[in-house]
Amino acid sequence: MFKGFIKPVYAHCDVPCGIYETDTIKHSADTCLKMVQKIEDLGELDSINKYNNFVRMVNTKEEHAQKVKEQAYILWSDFFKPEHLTAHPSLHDIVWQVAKQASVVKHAVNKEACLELNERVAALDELFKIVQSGN
Amino acid sequence: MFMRRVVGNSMAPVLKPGDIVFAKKIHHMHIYANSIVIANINGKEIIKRVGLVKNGKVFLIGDNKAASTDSRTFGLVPCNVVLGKVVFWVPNIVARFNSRLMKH
Repeated sequence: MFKGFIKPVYAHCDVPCGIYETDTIKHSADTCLKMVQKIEDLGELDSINKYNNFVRMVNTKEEHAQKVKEQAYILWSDFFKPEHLTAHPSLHDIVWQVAKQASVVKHAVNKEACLELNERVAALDELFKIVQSGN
Repeated sequence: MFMRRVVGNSMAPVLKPGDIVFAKKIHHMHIYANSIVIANINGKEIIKRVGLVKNGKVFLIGDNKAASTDSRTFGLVPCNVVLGKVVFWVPNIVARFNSRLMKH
């Protein structure tokens, strides 16, 4: 009712409110690798239960690869600030490589792709830790 | 004395969106911990509680820690960004009543 003539003051609600971490992204990348290992361990799909497990593992891999992307985007858009980009010009590339590799992990049951994803996530984690300790 | 309309939830449950606050301009020497202040951060007026005053700088923090962007994100700010201290406020009864209705 006072919208028109009283100036607003912001009790702002910018979730996620300054709490950032890389545990989730590392956990998700690890999960993808674990799922690929488990799918390979299944061997031939000769029973209905194996089919069931196979589908569940693929689903989990898909879900966690997506989570890797989401977490990378959160850090990218919310945590990193322009001055971090100036100090670390490789920032955009590191995030992009993580997101790209997460898509590759989705495409196939490929252990190498998962290991590569883990490496790229580790690079992002390293950058995150450097930037965070500099704050 | 000036008045402002609260937008956002970072000071809940004390202040809720739509509440009208009245603030008094204060000298920088008279900023004390625990008071609610209005500060200008990069051209945007925000309302927060003073957590700490140290060496001419203040740490601003929202009451609703889960939904607040404050000094935990932007760090200590100089005292001169504080525009005034909130002396009293008028709760937006209509909005509070409506949100209660929504819950039930």
